[in-house]
Amino acid sequence: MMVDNTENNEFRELLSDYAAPISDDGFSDHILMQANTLQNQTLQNQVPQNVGAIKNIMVGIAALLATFTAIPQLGKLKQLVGGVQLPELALPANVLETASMPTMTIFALLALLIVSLSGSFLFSSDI
Amino acid sequence: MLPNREHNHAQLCAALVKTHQGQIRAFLRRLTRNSALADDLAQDTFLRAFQSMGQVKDDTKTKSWLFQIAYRIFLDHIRKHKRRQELADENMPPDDADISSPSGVKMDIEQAMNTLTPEQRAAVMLCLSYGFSHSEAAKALNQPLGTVKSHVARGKSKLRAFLCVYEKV
Repeated sequence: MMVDNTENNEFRELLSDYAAPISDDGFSDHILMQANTLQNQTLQNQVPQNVGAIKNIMVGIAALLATFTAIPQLGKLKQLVGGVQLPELALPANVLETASMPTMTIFALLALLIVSLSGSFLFSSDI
Repeated sequence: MLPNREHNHAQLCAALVKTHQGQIRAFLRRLTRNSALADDLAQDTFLRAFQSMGQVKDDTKTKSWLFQIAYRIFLDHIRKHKRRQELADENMPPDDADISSPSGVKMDIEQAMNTLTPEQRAAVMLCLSYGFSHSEAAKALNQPLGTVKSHVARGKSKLRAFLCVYEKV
């Protein structure tokens, strides 16, 4: 243990120049100035966050008002929907039997395409 | 109340950087072997330290915590710039001359230290120069205790070998 300590002290002395602390030369002031600038930038960046919060509150209030306006109208909407009469289509009874398989497949694929296109058009945020 | 707290924080930051900048910069200079880069990394170290200053409650652990940040920043840097560094090394020698102009035994020590890997060099510097215990160094370098001990032992044996040659001349 004693030998270890003596040896370590020798190495410490040997490395004293190698690991000697660097003189400040304005480094501290530079760092503190940088920190100050960064802090100011952060404070400035906080302003849009407040604006965002206000925007969210306003959207919330608008949604609440819209809900209160829409609820009394629901009865009338129900009446309106109930009054709609769909035209009756006179399809031949054997339409499924007479349709060929490829034609049915093509129609099914077309329907799928239309549904997916309209879905992406309605719900995609990029459009 | 708030400006007072900010003032205290600023004072703590100033004290932190003034107390430790010398060793942190020396440590990073020896790891990077490039003074400008080392100062940039030291700057990042202190700016990161300022952001999370409340994490360290114990003042005695501040030094170890700072070295931990510095070493992590150094590792992040080499990971990010490994390829770029390789290209730079091919074209340019490390600017050791800028750090000091060693002669005789100092040069031998520097050469001996440069033969160590950065991990070994960091362990040797922390334990032999900056007074860290092996476990403190292990924590700062995020390495197992056994690894740090072996790094230090390897560093010592290389230094010893260089010194033997020097003494014989």
